[in-house]
Amino acid sequence: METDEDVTSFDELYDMHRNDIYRFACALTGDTREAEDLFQETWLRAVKAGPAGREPETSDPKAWLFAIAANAHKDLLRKKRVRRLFLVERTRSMGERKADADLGWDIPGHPGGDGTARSDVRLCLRRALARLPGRERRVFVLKDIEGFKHEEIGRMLGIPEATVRTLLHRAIGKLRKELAEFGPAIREKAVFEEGQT
Amino acid sequence: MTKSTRCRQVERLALEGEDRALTAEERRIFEEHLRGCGKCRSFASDRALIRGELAAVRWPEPSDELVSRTRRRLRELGTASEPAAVPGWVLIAVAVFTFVTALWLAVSLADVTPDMTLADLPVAGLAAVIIIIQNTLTLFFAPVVLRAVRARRGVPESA
Repeated sequence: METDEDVTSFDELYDMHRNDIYRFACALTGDTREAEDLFQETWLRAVKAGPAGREPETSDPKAWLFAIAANAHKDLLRKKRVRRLFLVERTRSMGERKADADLGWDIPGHPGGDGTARSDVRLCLRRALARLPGRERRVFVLKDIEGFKHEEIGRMLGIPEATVRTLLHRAIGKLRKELAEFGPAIREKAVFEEGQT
Repeated sequence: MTKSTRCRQVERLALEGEDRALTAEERRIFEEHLRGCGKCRSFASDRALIRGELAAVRWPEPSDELVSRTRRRLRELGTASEPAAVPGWVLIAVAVFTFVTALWLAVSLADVTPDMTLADLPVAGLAAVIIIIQNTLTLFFAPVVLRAVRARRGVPESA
């Protein structure tokens, strides 16, 4: 049973990092419903583990929470794989819909014209991210969206730093392949527009 | 060193440069190579594009409803005491009861043939059939009841 002090400090932790965890969940799942489930599952696991569940090497509470979220995401994908065995068609159509769900990837103030290139690039990027295998997606999101270092990601996911680099490199390669369809001109235009924002 | 080996090294440096400041020597190798290699220039520009696009995404925040629902669940979980362990005698009693029921079912239904109707069954046989039907219904509807209880308590289905 937790003391009042534990509950208060956990409340503080929750208030401090709930937006980070939700953003991470959104980036990993690309779907509001799944992100909400992952968000809740992460916090439930964290409170079950309690302060004693935090290992000395992950003394940074944010990194500890992200490690829990990454594990919960791994379990979520495993459950989905099992479900997919029985509901192949339904899952596939849900996957397509999922990639189109809006999770902040839209570009306000760019209804067309100059913003089109960036919109297309971003949509492509978002779909490519959703197609990455779980391990690569977790490493990529932790690095490029959350800004963790290779070493920190390795500690969080329990894998060597060299593996983190390999997975990241592989993920970037796949994203680049998807972006290649735009051709250098549009890609450069998108970079130019980005620079102007 | 072949060109592709050099390219791999430079791509690795590009990624490492995101984590730490490159040394002067590493920076020189990187910049010199980039000037003469279109493939690596394209890698660097795609990398900048990806990072730029991701940095511009406006990620949503959790809804107030989700925040308060989760907080409520966390508090419930934090203040809940551990469930008491089931005493050994209860487990033994359940095992004995299950065995006796199975034995009774087997004896009661031993004389049942496929052409018999419910009306033809002896009282013990009829009771056995009713118990089987009751257990089957419980088995089928337990998940529905469980889901309804969880929904009322605000627990996600995946939990």
